[in-house]
Amino acid sequence: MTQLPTPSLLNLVNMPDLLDRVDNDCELLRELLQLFRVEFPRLQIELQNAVSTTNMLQTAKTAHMLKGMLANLSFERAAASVETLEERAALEDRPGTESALNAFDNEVATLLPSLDAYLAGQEPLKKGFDL
Amino acid sequence: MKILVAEDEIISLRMIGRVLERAGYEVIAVDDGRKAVEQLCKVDGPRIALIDWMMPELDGPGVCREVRKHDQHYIHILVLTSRNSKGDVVEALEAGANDYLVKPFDSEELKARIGVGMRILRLEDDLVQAREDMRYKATHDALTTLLSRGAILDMLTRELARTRRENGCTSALMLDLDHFKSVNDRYGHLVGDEVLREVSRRMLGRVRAYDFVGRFGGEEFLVVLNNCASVNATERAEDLRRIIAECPIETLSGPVPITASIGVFSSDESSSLVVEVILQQADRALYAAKGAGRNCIRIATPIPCGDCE
Repeated sequence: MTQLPTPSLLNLVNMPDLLDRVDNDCELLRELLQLFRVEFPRLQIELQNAVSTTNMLQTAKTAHMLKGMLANLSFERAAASVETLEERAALEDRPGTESALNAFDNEVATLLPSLDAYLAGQEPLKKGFDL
Repeated sequence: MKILVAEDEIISLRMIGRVLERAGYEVIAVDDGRKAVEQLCKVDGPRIALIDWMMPELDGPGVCREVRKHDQHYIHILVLTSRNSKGDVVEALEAGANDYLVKPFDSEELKARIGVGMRILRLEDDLVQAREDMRYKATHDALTTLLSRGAILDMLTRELARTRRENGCTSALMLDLDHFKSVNDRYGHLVGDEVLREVSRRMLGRVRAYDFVGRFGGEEFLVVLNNCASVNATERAEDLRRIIAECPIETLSGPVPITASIGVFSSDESSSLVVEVILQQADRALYAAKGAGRNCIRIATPIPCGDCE
C-alpha cells in the first residue's frame, strides 16, 4: 500500500487571510497553531461522543465552537465541514449528522499531519515566513 | 482604554486579545457570560465589550440584557460570533448590542468598529458633561455658586418630607444683609457682588456638610439645617450672624462692613407645615429682626397647626 504524501498546509489554510488577521505576527500564529493542536483532540472526542450518544444539543454546541476556532484560523474547508455538522445536528438529522461527522473527521485527518509538519518546522508557511 | 473580551474558545480569545493589545487597548479576558456582566457592571469597568454569543452561564444577548438593566455609564457592546443569520443579528441588537461582527473576523474591521465605539463613547462623555454643566447652572447661582432659589426650595421640600417620615426636625433660616442697597449705592455693584460672594463663602464655611445654603433673591439667603432642632438652629443662626458681622469684607474699594438679620423657623414646632407657610413664618421672623434694629436673629412664633394649611 502506497502512503500518500502529506499535503502542504498552504493548501488547507487561507494563509494571506490568516496572516492578515494576526497582523502578520508570525510568533502569535505559531502560538495559536500550537494551541489548536493541543485543544483540538479534546474537542474532536467530545464531538464524536456527542454524535455517538445522539446528543444533538451537545453536538451542535461543540460543532459551533469548532467552527469559530477553525474559521478564525482560516482552515476554511474544515470550518465549512463542521458547519454542515452543526446544521445537521440543529435539525436533529441523525443520519445527516453521522455522515457530516465522517466528512469532518476525514477533513481533519488530512489537516492534522500537515499542521504537525509545519509545526515541526519542515515547511515554511509562506515564502519568507518561517514559523 | 480597557476592553472586555468575553469568549470561551481559547484560540479566538488569544487572537483577539493580542490584536487589541497591539492596537493599544488593555484587554480584560473572561470565559463566561456571568463574569462578563460582573466586569462590565463595576464602577471602573471596561466601557467597550466584545462578546461571543455562545458562552457558559449566560449567552451574548443575555449579557447585553443584564448590562442594559444597570443604570450606569454607557457601554458599547459588540457581539462577535459565528452565528450569521439575519435573525441572530436582530436578536443581538434588540438585546442591547451596538454592533455585530461575524467570525472569522477581519482585524482591520474589528479595530475600525472599536474605533466607532470609542467615538460614540467620547460623544456620550461630552453629552454627560454638558448635561452636568446645565444641571449645575440650573441649580446654582452664578455669582455666589450657592444653590439657586428653585434648588434650595426643592431641598427644603425634600428635607421636610424626610423630617415627617423620620419624625425628626428641620430648620430654615431666612437671612438678609442689612442696608445692602447702600453698599451698592456707595461702592458700586461690583463691590456689592464681592460682598455677596464673601458672605456666601463665610456661610458655606460655617454650615455642616449636609446643610444647604441658597441665594433666595438679591441679598436674601435661605439656609436649610438638616436634623436641627429649634435650640440648635438658634445657635447656628447666631453663629452665622456673627461670622458675617465680625470683620469687614475686603473689596477692591477697601473694607466694607456688613451685617445680617436672620429669621429662624424649626419644623418641630408644627411638622405638618408646607414650604410656603414656613417661608412666610421665617420671613416674618426676619422682619421682626429688622424691626429690632438689624444685626440680630428672631425666632418664628409657631402658629397652631389648624391654621397651617
